[in-house]
Amino acid sequence: MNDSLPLSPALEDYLETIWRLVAEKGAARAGEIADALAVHKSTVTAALKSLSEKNLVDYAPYQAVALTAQGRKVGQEVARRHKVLRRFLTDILSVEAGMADRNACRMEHILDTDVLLRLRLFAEFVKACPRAGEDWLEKFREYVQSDGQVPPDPSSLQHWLNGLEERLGKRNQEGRSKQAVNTLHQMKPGQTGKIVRVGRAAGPVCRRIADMGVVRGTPIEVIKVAPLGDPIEVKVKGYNLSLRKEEAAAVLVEPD
Amino acid sequence: MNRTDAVGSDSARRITVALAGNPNSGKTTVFNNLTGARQHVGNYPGVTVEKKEGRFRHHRHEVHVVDLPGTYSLTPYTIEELVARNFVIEEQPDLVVDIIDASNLERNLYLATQFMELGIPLILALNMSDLAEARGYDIDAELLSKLLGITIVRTVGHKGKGMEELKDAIVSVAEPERPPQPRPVSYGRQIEKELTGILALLEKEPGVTERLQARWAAVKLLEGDEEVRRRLQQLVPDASEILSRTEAAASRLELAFGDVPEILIAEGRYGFISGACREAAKVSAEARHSMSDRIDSVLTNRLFGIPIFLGLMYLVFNLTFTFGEPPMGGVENFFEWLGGAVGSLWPAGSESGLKSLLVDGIIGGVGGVLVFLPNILLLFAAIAVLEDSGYMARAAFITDRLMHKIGLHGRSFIPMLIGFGCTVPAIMATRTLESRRDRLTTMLVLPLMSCGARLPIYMLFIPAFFPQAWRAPLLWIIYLIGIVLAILLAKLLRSTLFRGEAAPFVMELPPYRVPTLKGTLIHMWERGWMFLRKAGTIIVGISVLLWAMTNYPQPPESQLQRLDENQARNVKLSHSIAGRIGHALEPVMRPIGFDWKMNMAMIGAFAAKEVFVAQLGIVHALGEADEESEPLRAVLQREYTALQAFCIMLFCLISVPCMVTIATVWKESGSWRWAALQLVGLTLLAYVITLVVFQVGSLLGAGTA
Repeated sequence: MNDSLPLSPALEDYLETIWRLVAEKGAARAGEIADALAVHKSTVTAALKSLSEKNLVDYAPYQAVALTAQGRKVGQEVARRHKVLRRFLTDILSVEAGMADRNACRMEHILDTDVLLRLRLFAEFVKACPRAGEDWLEKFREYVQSDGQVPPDPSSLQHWLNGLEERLGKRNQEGRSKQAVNTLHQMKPGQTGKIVRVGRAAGPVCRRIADMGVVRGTPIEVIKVAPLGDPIEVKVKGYNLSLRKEEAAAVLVEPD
Repeated sequence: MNRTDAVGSDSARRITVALAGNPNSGKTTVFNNLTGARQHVGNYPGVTVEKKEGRFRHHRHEVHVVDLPGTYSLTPYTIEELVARNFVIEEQPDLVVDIIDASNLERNLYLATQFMELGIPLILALNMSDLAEARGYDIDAELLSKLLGITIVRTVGHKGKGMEELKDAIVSVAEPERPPQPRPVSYGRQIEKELTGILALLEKEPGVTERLQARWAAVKLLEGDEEVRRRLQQLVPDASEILSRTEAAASRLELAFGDVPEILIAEGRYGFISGACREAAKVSAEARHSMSDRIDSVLTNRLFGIPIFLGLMYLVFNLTFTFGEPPMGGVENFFEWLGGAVGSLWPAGSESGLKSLLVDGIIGGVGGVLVFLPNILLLFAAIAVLEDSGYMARAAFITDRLMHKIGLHGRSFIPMLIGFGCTVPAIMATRTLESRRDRLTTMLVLPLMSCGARLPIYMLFIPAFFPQAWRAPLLWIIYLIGIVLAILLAKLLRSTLFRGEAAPFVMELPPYRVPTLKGTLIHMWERGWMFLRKAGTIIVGISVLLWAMTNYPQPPESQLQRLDENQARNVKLSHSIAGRIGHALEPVMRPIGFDWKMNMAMIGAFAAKEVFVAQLGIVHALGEADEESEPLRAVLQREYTALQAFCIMLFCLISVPCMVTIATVWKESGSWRWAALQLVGLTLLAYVITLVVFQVGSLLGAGTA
């Protein structure tokens, strides 16, 4: 369904703004859109026409703007990306709110979904992992305010990065023997665990997985891998379920 | 079973019951027990989902039972689930009986929670409770009934236990005075708060409250259900307030929980079920490694899984075709006898057109189709056994990786395999595929699996044109070409006409069970009857048409004088419409190496591919011929080159096998368009490939000596 042409960041911003306005106020008018994006009204009109040609909005002059089904999807998606990025910047990196907003606004258009997901998973991981958690974040905030402040000079940034790699390398060697969470497709036959979360997005596959009883908090056991190496068989809620590895990758499990 | 003795105080009523349940919950058995032989199989309007209906009488009440498709949930994502849901909403049956597999309680109750939300009177049939007990489950049905606010009946489908109780419950729950309302699932404070907000808006709309259960609609909207959204826009003049409220609610929830509402609501339902089960169901023994698990560890073993699978498939084929042989002979003899008997009504040597229509057209045509029936019935019986035993799901599990590579589902494998026997049952076997895209793709490429009827053609040509050492490899290559083309075509279709996400393989692997004879026979009979009734009507029509094309117009008597019988048949055929078309097609077919005789034989062979050989006999004025016929081979060697022979085989392989295939695709896909596409597409493909082979071959001088 996402086979339409890629939209320019500006147009994506429009869809996001319209979606947000509709969600907040019930309707979006050209004037409000112009205010929200701090552009001139005539620019908005031109953009709306362009979006209308792409069949993303239903637009007629002097009327409230409505999103088409496809437009709603894109707008919602961009808004979602924005939210995720903004939260990551504020909650994890302790970036100040205004700056976080502005940066999220730019990042939302260029990051691949996978990277976005990693950020989101990382945020969750930091909060859920027994070795990290809020204390850990608090320490990081202190670190940011003290000597960890990233220097503005690019050459020293490189120096800092090298140092970081060294430090991280040492940490890795010390061993990451115990992993707190795992995706289901990485687990071996015979391994058991508890489901932490299902799904990265709405849609048939994740919904199907959840419908079959693979939901948060449920114990799960990997029974076997098919002879050719792809679907896997798991036991959940007392019955046997098979799913492809690519589908199992959407399930996060905390191994016992 | 007609019970007239019961004297109820209530007057006789007509009750409509929808039978719902998960796949493998024993729903079909309960349906058969309830309705006996009084069944009717059809389709739900507009879709090709099978609709079974039946009826029974109980205490003077006439009960009409509709079997909903087996589903795990009521999402808008699969046709079956949508059909089940729409039936309940649109047709408003008096009540739903949800068959619950007691040995798999939690997942089965998930569907029940959704019916509860729909606000329809509900009975849970706690089925297979014997199996559940054996597996160490102890279910307090009374407590569960109280917790859920639903009537629960214990049944054991395959032993017919609990059916009278179920009938009693159906009659009493369908009482006009409302039964106790089921307790709706509570999704937790935050979700409930959002739901209340949406609900308040919905309840202001009389258009909604008249047609839909408002709470259900609120939940569905929050889940982002496109179908309900569309309905809402139809029912409410301006739905924008409700929709934006819903979207805002969804965003808030996602922000708060980090999950989309769809998943949160699924979790809520399972949470509710877990709570109820913790109180009402006890697992006394940890039945982790049951008998079924042990069987499975052998059958889908990493090493032996594939050999066992191939062995089983070989066995199925062998049995079908070995046991099919005698009855096939019987059917053949019967139609020969019938043809003779009908023919003898005319004086010997009569050239009556009516006689020819009856004997050659109708009896010959119908006989030609019915001859497949024993094989088809046996294959269906084998499929039913594989399905009911639980092995079918494992076969898909084993082969999915392979099929997924070409964009299909593991369940496509079995139909493909059956295609080597006969394309017709193979097409009917695609019913196990849930995704319509997968199903149509499989159907359209199936004829490329070289079926048994094409073997006589290869057997005639290969020995006539190729030295001993080449024969076996050549036959193998022809089959291989079919398989490779099927793979390429499937890939092509999946990336053009049927583009889209591959269907998920999130599939239950049901416990192994011993299939029942009754179930197998019913299954076999249903499919066989459907084949006869539906394909039959079209086939008789086409048979008569083909008969007319190969018999009319007849040449004037003067041309037939002084000719022997074989020559006369030859002249008649080339004078007929088919003969004329054969001649007319010459300019088109010459570039692929066909002369008019081949064209003519090919037209006749559309009835069934094995007729091709017999037709060749007629066009070469040799009379009766089969694939072992040496005179025919001699003529062929004289008239054609090895390259032409190869091209003829290639064309027969790729072009659509027969009219029965086309008729079956028409019926199974629900539209003549797919059948037409298959016919035209495969014929074109055959033409182009044969053209290239013949032209390049001629240029290189291969096989033209």
